[in-house]
Formats: sequence, structure tokens, C-alpha cells
Amino acid sequence: MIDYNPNSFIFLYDETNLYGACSNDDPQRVDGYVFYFSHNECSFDRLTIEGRPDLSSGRVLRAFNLSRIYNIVRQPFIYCGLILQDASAYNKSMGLFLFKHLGIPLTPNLIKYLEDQSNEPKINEDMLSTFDPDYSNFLFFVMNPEVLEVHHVTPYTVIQYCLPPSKKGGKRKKTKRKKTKRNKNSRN
Amino acid sequence: MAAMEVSDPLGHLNYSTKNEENFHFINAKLESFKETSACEWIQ
Repeated sequence: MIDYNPNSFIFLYDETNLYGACSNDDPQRVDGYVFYFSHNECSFDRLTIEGRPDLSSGRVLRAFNLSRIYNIVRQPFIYCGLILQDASAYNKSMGLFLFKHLGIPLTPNLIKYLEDQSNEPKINEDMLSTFDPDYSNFLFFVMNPEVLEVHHVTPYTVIQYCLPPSKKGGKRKKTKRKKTKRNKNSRN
Repeated sequence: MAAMEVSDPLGHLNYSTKNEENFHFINAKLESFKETSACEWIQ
């Protein structure tokens, strides 16, 4: 359940801007897996870092949250949430996916955990495995930075190695696609 | 693969709950976002 006391939220800010806030929840172990259910993540001011258009406030807030949780549990974990309709596409671009791609069984324990966290009364496999563009969707992400071989995972290492690259590109150079004439007989 | 050390462009950012130091700044900011953002859940 969501606790609305002031320490329930963590804020991302600098001297002049408040870039975002997320709920300060603890991860939980369910069926041998560590889950973190994100109740709230909201970005506010726009983050501008010269030469890095990929470092948006939403992406950076997610990276801070993932690194915080990883440094608590010190093992791979499953980040999930009931993502609002308007934010579903954005979260899919950040690597979140439907339950059916997670590759673990939907047990009664896990159903209860997701129901308790989301306040959705009756969760079933169909509901978790179908993307509904007109409603909120349960989306999942596996945070597994162990490949990095680093002692302390920072938000920036999450952005560099754990999240999918932003379409805005960051430091990557743009490459021009070679234009080719499409064959009229091609099926593509 | 070992992560290479690079300068951290996020190093200047703070990430914390409300505390004595940031309390007024964050409250004022949240107030300014009240009409434009869906942040009622923080209040």
C-alpha cells in the first residue's frame, strides 16, 4: 500500500530545478525473485546536459531509482509497475515489457503480490500478457548489472549499460542511411 | 566486461527524501507544479 508521508518519496534535484520524484518503496522477495513495484515516478523540470540529449529527466530518474534499489539488494531484480496508458509507450522504449516475456511462472504468491501492490482486484495471466493501448498496463524490466563487474552501480552506469539506448542518441554519431530504390516487386 | 571509468554527467544531481536542507526548496517547487503536473500524490 502507498504511504503518503513525506519520506515516501525521493526527489531528484539540483540547486535550481526539481527534475522528478519517485516513491521510496522497498523491494520484496516473491518465489525466490526480488521484485520492486514502482508506485509512482514523475518527472517535472526538463534536465539539460550539454551534448547529451539522451539524458532526459525521466530516463535519469529511472536510472537513479534502479541503481538505488540494486545497491540495496545487491542482486538482479525485477522492476515492475502498473503503467498509465499515456506512459506505456515511453516505458516500453525504456525496455519495459509484458509479463509473458519475463519467463517465470505466474504463481498464486506472485498474483497476490501484484494485486496488493497495484490494488487491482483480479489479476490473471491474460491481463498481464496483453498490451491494452486504452488502459494501464503491467510492465516489467529485469535489472541485471552483474555483467558490469563493478562494486557500486551508479545511475550513470545504469544508463550506459542497463537501459536501452535513447532514440535521442547521446554521444553516438548519426549515420546516414544509404537510400536505395525499392523494388516494385518486393514484398517488403 | 568491466565498466570503464568515465566522467559522470549526473554527478551534480541530488537524490534524496525531504530533509532540513531541501525542505523549503522542494515544497516551493511542488507548489509551482501543482497546476501543471499530476503530482497531487506527493502532497
